[in-house]
Amino acid sequence: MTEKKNPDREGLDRLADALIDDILNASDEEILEEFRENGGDPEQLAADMLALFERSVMIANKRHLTEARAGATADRAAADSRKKLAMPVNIEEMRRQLRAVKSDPNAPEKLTLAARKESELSDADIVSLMEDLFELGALPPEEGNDGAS
Amino acid sequence: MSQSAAVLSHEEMKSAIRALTPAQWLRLRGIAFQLVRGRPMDMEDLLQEAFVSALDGRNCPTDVDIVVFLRGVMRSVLSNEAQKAQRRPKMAYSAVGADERGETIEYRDPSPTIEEDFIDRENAAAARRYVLAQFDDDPDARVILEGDIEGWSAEELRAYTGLDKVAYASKRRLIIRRLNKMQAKGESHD
Repeated sequence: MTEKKNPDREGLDRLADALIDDILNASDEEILEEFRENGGDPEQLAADMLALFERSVMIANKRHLTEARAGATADRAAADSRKKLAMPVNIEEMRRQLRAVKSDPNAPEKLTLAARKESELSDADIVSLMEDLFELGALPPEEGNDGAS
Repeated sequence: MSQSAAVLSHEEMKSAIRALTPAQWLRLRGIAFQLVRGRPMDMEDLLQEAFVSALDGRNCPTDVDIVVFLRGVMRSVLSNEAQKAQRRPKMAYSAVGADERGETIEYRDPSPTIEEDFIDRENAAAARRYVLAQFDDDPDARVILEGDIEGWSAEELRAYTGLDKVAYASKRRLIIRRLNKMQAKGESHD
């Protein structure tokens, strides 16, 4: 998509190009002299511009880091979901594991509560619960399913 | 700088920018000032966006002056901003209808509103008028600026004004000096 036609904008762009060519063609002495004539300090200006550049470097680094983190998270999520999809579901084994949690003194309270109600949960609830536990790291992948269906 | 590379590496680009002289920084700032005239972005924001964009993987050929390269990046940033503004969902609605449950829904029109187009045109026109008005006392300078706006060549402008090469170059210096003074004073055409 290109910018919509705006004759005034296009004219202003042509003017900017012509004036920029003048700036690029001017000698260093002319540019520095002119800036001093207007009360400016070229060294201070250079220091301010360099500081602006260093802030930009930090912004660029931060942006790269954020993108890299988002990419890594997305890759992990995709890998986990591929792993889950690839695993055949053995609902009886899942129920057995959940019942076993009832007697585990180290299991979190919420989990033992769910385990006590295991017989009331539907197969879909069990699968969903085990997936949540797997994602939370409460169950290692090999404990989530024994591979048999 | 590596011998075989056709473009600067990320680190080489950073080093090249850090090594800019005060005169080169002034050129860069002057370029940004010319580019933002009549646009809803200030000079510092444009420079910062251009630096970030340059560091984000833009290729700077090793034989291109870094200031000239950054000029291109600034133009690209402004063009992208303008395109983003055109794509942004607008507050104006082109239609009101009902969904399958009979509830009222509003359809957003993705094109710029007439008001936004108008504001952009007005900003550009106001900036153009403002620049020309600074040279009301100098007919030759005004003709040169109007010629620049229309895209005339230096030869055409010299022929039209009757200025020789030296006088024409001197007039252009005067124009840029006066515009730089406007910049130093904090130009605004609003």
